[in-house]
Amino acid sequence: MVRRNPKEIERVAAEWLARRGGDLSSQEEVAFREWLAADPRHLGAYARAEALMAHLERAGAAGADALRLEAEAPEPSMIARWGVDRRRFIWGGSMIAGLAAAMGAVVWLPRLMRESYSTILGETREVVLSDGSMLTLNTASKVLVDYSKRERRIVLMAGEALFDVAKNRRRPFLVVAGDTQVRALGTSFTVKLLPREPVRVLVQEGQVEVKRPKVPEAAPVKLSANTIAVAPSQAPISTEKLTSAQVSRDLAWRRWQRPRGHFPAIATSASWCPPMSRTRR
Amino acid sequence: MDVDFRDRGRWLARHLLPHEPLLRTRLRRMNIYGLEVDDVIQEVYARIASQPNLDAIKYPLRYAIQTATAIAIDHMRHTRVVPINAVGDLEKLEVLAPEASPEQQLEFREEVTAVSRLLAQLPRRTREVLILRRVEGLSQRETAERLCISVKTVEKHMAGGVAALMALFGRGGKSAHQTSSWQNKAADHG
Repeated sequence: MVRRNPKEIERVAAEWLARRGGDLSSQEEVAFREWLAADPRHLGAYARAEALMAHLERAGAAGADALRLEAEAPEPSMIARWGVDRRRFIWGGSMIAGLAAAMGAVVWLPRLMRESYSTILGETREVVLSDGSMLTLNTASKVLVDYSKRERRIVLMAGEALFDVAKNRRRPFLVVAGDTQVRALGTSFTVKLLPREPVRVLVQEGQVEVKRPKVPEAAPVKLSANTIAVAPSQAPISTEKLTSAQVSRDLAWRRWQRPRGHFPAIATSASWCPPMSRTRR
Repeated sequence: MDVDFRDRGRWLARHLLPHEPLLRTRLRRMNIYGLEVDDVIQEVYARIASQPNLDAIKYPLRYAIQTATAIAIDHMRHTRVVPINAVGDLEKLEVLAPEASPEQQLEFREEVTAVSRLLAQLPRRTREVLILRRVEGLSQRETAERLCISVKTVEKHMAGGVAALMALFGRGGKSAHQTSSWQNKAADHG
């Protein structure tokens, strides 16, 4: 067997991984298979490349903030390509940015007020809400975000969601699931709404209050960390203390979430592309 | 094998990747003639990735060590250069490390810092492409639009970034040759 340099194999594996990220023709797909089969180390290098990408995904999903990179000004080389004086560019750029932001705000504001997020079966999703609270949707779930000046209201339509609530005493955070209301200040908790099952509220951190205004039998209860509350129909809300191990097991679905829209620092929208690079695309 | 490359990648990221540095150190210490550590690592990945049922592997670290040992033995059989002390050296690989879950071994925060440290060593554009593609999950086209570059350029950055991460992870960016000769020296001294 021809001993090929492992680094060379890595390079080819990385190229295949990148190419397979786009659209491969069937011939290319055949070429990929042939390459994989030619040497076990090819398969190994490719699997290792995928593992590194999964590693990146995983670290990114859990520590997106830590990975977030400082907001950066456009690269000098890009400015040079435009043939524009750098200072003038930045000036003009920031004006356009301000204008675009203002226009964006006007167009998007009503939508932001009542945004809905959902996941399909097998998907989980993390969303950073406008107040800095974080919402993690479990599989097959849907929420409506209804923020007003006085309160932050979320309607859980189906499934399960975890809320990491940003503290704001003047603007309470309220989750509505069926006839159950969960009120929180700064805390982390999940609410689960499944068909034909009582609503469940699991508190990981802080304190929340669970209320069912339309069910007289169910008195409001206050939950502290590591407590689960179950709200069956027409019955008092029952609570149970859990160990933190049980809580983290219950939240294990969170581990593979993949945040979207988490890196505003790397943003230049399509309308911003300099004319030259647009024609090259 | 095709559909679940991603899936397998995830399993490997959790159960094999964290042990790779340890495997490398042990393989280098074995000091077997003509045995290239990078080759063995690639073969370990190949053998484990082609296991039909990864979840059946209860002790991934032990399994990885056994696999690496089998590969080293194969290598010695093929080259027929069996140094007298080679069998004794194999034991160095076999010394069992405590089986700890990757989470326990490496606190998640540390893992995140490790990843950002790796990313920090890449060119800015390449880093952005990797993050947009794999952390944010954008498609190639979406990434191209976000960064105002062509799809072809995204692909190039992606390939470059993956290759660089492969070289950096476990080897600390040094070439295989440098690393192994340094290790040999260290072994001679110790």
